[in-house]
Amino acid sequence: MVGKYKIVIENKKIRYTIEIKRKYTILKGDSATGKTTLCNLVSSRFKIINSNIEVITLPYNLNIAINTLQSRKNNLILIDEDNPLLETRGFEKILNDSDNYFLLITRKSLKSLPISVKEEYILKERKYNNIEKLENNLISTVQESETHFKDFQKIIIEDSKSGYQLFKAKFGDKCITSKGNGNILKLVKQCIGKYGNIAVVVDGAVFQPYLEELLGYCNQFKNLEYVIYVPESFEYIILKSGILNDLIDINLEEAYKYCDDSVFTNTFKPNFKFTNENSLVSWERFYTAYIRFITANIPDKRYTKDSINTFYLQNTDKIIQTYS
Amino acid sequence: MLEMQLGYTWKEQENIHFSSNDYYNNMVDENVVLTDFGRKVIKTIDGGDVIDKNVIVTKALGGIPQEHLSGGTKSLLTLYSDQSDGIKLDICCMGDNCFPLLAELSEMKDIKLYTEDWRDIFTGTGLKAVKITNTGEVLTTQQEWFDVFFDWLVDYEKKDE
Repeated sequence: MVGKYKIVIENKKIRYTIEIKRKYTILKGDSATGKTTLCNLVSSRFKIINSNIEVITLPYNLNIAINTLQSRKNNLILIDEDNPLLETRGFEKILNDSDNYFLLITRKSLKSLPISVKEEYILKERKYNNIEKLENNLISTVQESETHFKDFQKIIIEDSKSGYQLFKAKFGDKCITSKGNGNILKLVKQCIGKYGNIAVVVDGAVFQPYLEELLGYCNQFKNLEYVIYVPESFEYIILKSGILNDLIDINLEEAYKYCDDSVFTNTFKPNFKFTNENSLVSWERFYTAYIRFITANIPDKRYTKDSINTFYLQNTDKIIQTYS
Repeated sequence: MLEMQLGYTWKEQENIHFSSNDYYNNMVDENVVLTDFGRKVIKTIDGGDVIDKNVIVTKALGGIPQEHLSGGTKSLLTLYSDQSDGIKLDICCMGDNCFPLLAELSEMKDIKLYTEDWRDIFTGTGLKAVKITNTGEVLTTQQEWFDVFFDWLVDYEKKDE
């Protein structure tokens, strides 16, 4: 499924406005802010929905829920926190395989799902509008600030392959790789007391489930200067850096138009096929697929994840500046 | 006292729930909303006044049955009720705004929750202590909770059993 959708759901008392553009969006926050009310409203027979796609709440019966996920296509499916599917081992495969967008209402960190830091929302500002209807917009929790990439005392890179190789070429032993999101906190913990400032570089397109605990940890240390860089992915940074501008023929911010295996294949006709390992369940994978596709026939620029091409190493400064 | 189990196995997860909604609606005595604690939770979290056990009036939703109370309120009332032994809850079942009332409840009775995620249960909540059931330690400050939780989290790997 591809696309960006603005959805308005309302009844006589309340109106919700949501914009969805990725497979997974998370809605969390305090109790009694209207999350379950949104699910109940979507489930009710009488409501007004202004949307180009069908919006449903996933049924609570597990077998019916799984059938729904397999049979429906191009829907926005709301999954409330008390849906037993979220407690079921292996639920991430069922969702990844389902050709729909999902609004997941839960405070749980769903570490097995590729959720973007930009797609975490809370229901916070409840205001009554001039027709006495409660306006309940989803507010993004991400606050971005511009920070230049300086010479940090320690730089922790989530990537263990091409991204790490490039940073290592620039910063040497100051760089360490966590070899995945799951080990970042451990490395940050090891840096406390040893270094006054650190940088953490992750793929924002999949880091939402880890961000809250990392921020919760780092914020405890008042003397620690830290920056967490959450661009979409390393490949997105390369594409944004300008060094491949002659090959790029899309708006990079519009990944929602192509982030689907069959749409990508039909649009770009790449010489590779998607498998479980590189299926486009996140924008991170889209940018990797796209950079592979546009450089496939240019040997000195050909991008591979395992080993970074000399062309990119020669442009290290431009690429790293793009993080700022 | 509040007891907390850090982490759980996949086998344990079969009986640990991320929400009390379904349990509350079907198993918890509906008179719980008429208790002083019930009224206080509903007033504080949902901004509602309990008219009787069938009607609660909130500014946001008007008159509602108790089945439409928030998930956090239902979790607190489930833990408060005598039937709380019937369900094991992950702390994700309630928002941060429930923690002051969770602290209050923990001084009235022993309650147990489970967590895999960092939640600051001490700062600004009035919580006096939490017992970590994995080790038996009793922690009385945010700093102790922070240290123990993150020492545990960095090595946490969910096991089958």
